[in-house]
Amino acid sequence: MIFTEEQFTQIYNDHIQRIYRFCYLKVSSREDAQDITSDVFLKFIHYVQKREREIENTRAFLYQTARNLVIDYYRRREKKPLPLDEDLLEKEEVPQLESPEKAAILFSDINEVSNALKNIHTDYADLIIWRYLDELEIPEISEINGKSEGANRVALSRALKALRGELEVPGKV
Amino acid sequence: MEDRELIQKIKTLEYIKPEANWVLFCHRELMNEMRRAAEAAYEPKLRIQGIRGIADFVNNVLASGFRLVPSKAILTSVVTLGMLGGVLFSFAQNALPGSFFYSLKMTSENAALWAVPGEGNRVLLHTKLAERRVIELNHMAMNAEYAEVNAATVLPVIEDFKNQVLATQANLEKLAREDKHNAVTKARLITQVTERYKTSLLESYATITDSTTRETLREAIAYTEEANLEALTVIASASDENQEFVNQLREEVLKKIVSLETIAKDLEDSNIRDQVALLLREAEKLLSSGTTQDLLQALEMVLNAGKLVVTD
Repeated sequence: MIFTEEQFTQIYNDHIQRIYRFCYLKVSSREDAQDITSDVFLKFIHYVQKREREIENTRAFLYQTARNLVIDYYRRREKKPLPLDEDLLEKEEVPQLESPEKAAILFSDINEVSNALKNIHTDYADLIIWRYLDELEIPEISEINGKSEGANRVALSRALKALRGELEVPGKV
Repeated sequence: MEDRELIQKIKTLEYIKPEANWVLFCHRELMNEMRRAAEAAYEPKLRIQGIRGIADFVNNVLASGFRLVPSKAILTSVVTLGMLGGVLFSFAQNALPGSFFYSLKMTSENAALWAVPGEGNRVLLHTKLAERRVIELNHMAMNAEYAEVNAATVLPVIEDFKNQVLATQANLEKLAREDKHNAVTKARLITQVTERYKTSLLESYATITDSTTRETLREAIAYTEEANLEALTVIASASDENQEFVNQLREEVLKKIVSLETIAKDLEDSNIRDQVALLLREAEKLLSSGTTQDLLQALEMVLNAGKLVVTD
């Protein structure tokens, strides 16, 4: 498979935000999220250039790679996912809203959900991110995690339940 | 907590975005890596394939001339030539000014522009072509091979960039009249790419020393800013659009006012100087009122002030 710089740029523009966000929600630092995200795209480039094989679903490929790299990251560092620190989500990353009150509410919601996602099973967190945040369809999610569509539907419902429990009574799930 | 409320909370995570500077930096690094990898493995391989293709073609013609019936021989030749063309076309897509393949690249781009249907697709294509020029320019400015940047090689690239940006803007304007929704989608893309163009052009500007080239680069940066403003205007004009873009446009207009105020002080013609000052004052007043309509009017005044400055 041959692709031009423009084609790569298009793929990069289409996916950079989501892949970064996925990595950011999985690891505990912005720098690590940036490193993993750039590695995802680097692997994509090398894969395309070396294998000369068509990637049927670029998005699924990128998420799969991101997921594997996050696993490697924790293996390498022998780290477990940590809850987000107070100052981990820096305020410049959220847009300036009309009023400081609105911004504060939004900031607090982001922190709350991010921390809750860290406390539930990692497979559940992945499913929630893919389905409700990135709006992937179930067949596409199945392509990423290799599980059947039925299994993913059941797991998704459990994932929502787990997240709800975590948000209502933090630390219980 | 209801499912809907829960999903709404999950959706707040959409606000987590990478830093714009890092996105640009990462993109640039990846492009460099792509070029390195292409130079190391991909081009020689293609060259070998190309040479093999030519050899196969010659062999086929020589060997099959007596065995194949004429129609099959012609078909074989056409297919082989087509494949050879494909290989050359692939080469051309990453070619840089000065190389043999660059003219092929430009020809293929012109053909694509001629063939592309619809304003929306034309906007996308012009954006992509502008991006190509920025990448080429940046590569030439940063690469040791082009350290002594030759104005004759660089200027046509910058001129073509300007043409692509102007064409993007013109097509976006047309599209906004015909299909507002599609125009907003394209305008969002333009706001992203113009930011990248500007950073890249500024990098090239810092490296290039030739005064004519620097002047043309300055113009190219101004064109980029205009295209960004046009895109923001299209988004802000759509009543159902996000406040975020309206705020962004307000900031851009304000920046433009400040920069024009500085330039206007040094204008020689006092008449023009007064007119510009008046326009900028009115624009500032409109800007403080807060409505989108006033914001668009302020933008028009600022653009008119900009035109007056240029005529001085």
